[in-house]
Amino acid sequence: MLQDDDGQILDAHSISAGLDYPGIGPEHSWLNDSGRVEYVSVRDDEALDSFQLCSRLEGIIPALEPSHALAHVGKIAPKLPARSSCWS
Amino acid sequence: MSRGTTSGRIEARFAALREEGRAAFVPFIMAADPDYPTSSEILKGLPAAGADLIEIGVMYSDPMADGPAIQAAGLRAKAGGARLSRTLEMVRDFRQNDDTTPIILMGYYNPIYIYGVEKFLDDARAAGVDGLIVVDLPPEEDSELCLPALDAGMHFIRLATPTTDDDRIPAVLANTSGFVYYVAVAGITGTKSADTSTIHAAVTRLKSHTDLPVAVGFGIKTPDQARNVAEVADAAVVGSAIVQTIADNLTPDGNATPELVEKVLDFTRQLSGGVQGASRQAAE
Repeated sequence: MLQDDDGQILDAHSISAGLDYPGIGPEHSWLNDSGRVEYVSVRDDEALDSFQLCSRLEGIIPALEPSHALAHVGKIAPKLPARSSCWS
Repeated sequence: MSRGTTSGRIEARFAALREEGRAAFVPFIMAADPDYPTSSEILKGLPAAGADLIEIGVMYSDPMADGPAIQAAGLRAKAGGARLSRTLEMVRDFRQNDDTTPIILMGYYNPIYIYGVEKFLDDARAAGVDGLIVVDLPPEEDSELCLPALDAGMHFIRLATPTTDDDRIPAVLANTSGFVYYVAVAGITGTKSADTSTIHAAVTRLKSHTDLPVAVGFGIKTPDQARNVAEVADAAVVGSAIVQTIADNLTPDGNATPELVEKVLDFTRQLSGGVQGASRQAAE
């Protein structure tokens, strides 16, 4: 929760309406705390760049929420072996 | 379930009013609206202006039950430096000169949760707070704050509404203490008003389930409305109309005008006059 030390909720900001929220749900919180999922952040401009890239290269116009995920794919894909799967 | 010894102020006040045969007048102000010195001065003047009990709003950023007037009061309070610890300080200061008027804090859970429940209950009791109304804690969450509060001798006053049906009432009343607060309208504070016969029926229904006093609030804005409610309930609560009087007596840049405190107390006197002028149709 984005909050101050008096328990007042702080204003959130995201270019994506669906992410413009000051809290994290209990399922994500649990997955983070148990180490099952690693959470990373992506800036507004990175998400917009990925939105453009995916639209241009794939002809698929993504929502701004998954555009954040695509931006992170762009960061980690070059470090992965040529033929790899996230399940392996 | 263990219940701690309460301060006794709420019980004593309702018992005295029963002797007098009249209902209580309960004004609401938001702590730090528009700043702590001004709201503290208003608070100290309320008993002499006819307040039988006092509700003090604890500012919260996400006030789900508050209408526009009290939301605006909350924003002014935020600008005025509202913090839960300073609000307890204001109550402690009030108690230097008044050890009988019950003080009820009304707000939301997160500031208390962040403060720490046990520490909050200790500090609130020590400051002279008699009861809590925490809008976003239904009976299903009683283990969070309600039960520790009752253990610590702090009254926990629950809200019942027009949609609280006979199946739900026992759950709402089970751990309620001090009095029951009947929200007269299905909605937020300070908007529409319920008619007296509807309120009378609701209070009668609640009283068939509990011996606790029933206070009625939400939508009472004038001395006439306060009198009508006082004829059928044990207490009439006025909030939005009082904080609107504060809003109406600010300078353009949001500071208190020199006459603000007296204007608020004048209006409070009119409201309490309405309550005291009620001829009671005891709803037993």
